[in-house]
Amino acid sequence: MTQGQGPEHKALQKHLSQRAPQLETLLRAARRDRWILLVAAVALAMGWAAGLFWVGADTDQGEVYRIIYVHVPVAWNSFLWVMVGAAFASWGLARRERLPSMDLSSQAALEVGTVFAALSLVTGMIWGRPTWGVWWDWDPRLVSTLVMFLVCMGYHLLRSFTPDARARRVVAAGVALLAALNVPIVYYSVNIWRSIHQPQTFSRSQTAASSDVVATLFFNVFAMIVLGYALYRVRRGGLSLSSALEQARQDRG
Amino acid sequence: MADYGNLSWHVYLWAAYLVTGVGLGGFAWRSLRRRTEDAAALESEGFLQAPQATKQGDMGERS
Repeated sequence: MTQGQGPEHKALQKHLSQRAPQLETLLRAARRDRWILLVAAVALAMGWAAGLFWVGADTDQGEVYRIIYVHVPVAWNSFLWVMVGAAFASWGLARRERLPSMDLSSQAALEVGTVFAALSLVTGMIWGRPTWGVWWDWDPRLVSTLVMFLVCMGYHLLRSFTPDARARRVVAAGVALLAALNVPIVYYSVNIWRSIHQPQTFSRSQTAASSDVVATLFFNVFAMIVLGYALYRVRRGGLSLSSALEQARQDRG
Repeated sequence: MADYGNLSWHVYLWAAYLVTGVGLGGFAWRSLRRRTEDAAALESEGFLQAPQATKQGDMGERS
């Protein structure tokens, strides 16, 4: 039996074919993202090689201090992507007609931020054991980072448990803003409540590190930001594609 | 001074880099795979057909 000879089917085919260029643009962008991801991975590999083999050991901590070249970049990236997610969420709330698009951007940024927050906690624990003698301590920096991570996880859980798209977008934007409120608390916690975690290594008045350590660390931070951006683009493109696929399937019935 | 317990400093150092590499690599791989699957679905389900191809489909290709 030949399908779709009726006028309704022809109208539907026309509608879907009008969407084709838009979908092909999404696919072209997806192919470009692989190159950004590759460049970021190469930059990060160079940064890690410098941190592991080029810079000298620390006088107090010895070789284990080299964890700084992964821990600090992932921690700063967690702040960055949670803030970016919240910025998209606020934009969507301020301009409701842009909310569906901003919601996808916010979701992608917060997924990247959550991964970085989890890695920040894990690498911090791995560094904490040899330097503090414990894997975990109820220290303000650690607890505030854990709270930020849990709020991010709550964001994703809430999304999956809210079937209504409009309600999901608004509630998710609210939780994204709540996650971002934690960022300054995490960042300044070491100055406000002094405890086991070391204070900020870099401040406006002084820097407690040598120039080669600073250069290597900032190169790694830069490479990790590029990688974070690549991951964000991959996820944003992926969310656009799955949203387009879902919409196209709904259009088809 | 650092207290490494029963483990060498190598274990902590490499574990931190390994966890970060696996975590970020895994996230990238999973994201790319999901996107590739969605792109393949768009193509295989005929949503990327150009108008001419759609017309051919109407003429019997989708029978």
